Amino acid sequence: MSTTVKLGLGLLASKGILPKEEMIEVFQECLMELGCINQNNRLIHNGTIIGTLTIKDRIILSMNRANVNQHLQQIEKIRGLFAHRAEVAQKNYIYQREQQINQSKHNLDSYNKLVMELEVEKQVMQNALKRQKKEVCEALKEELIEAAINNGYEVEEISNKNSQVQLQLFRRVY
Amino acid sequence: MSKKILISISQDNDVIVETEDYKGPMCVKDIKQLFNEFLEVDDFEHKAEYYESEEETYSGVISKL
Repeated sequence: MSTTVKLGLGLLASKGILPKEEMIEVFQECLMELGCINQNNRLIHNGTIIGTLTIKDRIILSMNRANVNQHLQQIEKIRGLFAHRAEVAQKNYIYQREQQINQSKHNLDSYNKLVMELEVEKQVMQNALKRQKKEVCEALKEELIEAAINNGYEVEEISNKNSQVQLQLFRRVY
Repeated sequence: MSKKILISISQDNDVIVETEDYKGPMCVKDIKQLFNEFLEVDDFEHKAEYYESEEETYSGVISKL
């Protein structure tokens, strides 16, 4: 081994579940409903800092590893509520996009292109929602595998020891 | 020869990332790049290999007599 990094990570919102603005809006509503606060990307519940949020195409919570266990229940509540709200938000978003696209019917080329784009977007959203409904460990594993492949790694999942998921990423050097 | 990144994810959200067959700081660059779209990673623990150089390069002068 040359370097080690130890992280306490929670995948709160899967990549592609909603466009970024909608994802953040729904996420903030969920936090409010559960009595949590996002203060400068610090997630706070009952006056306690749970961890730091990184909001990009997905929402990641990084925590102090020593305190992860005591926050697991809260993380699952956030993930679960977000999955439910995101499903509704997806339907609203797709409906609105369909309405917009229907208005461009006079230009058939443009209409067909937009319909195809929306179909791809729908598929991404459905996959992300399925992932959101999985256990956090499994969902994180899937997103890491995708990121690794996109970064040029070959990925092998090795045997499950003590309920752990282990991934081996390798990049051949010639 | 391949360079490896090993990732263990436990049920309680504990993620351990380790590199194998790397020498020098390239391992840090690769981990940062891999996790770039997730979060900023900067809490590295380095082992001896980290401080070794990637390749031995000869920088002297060869002279023919």
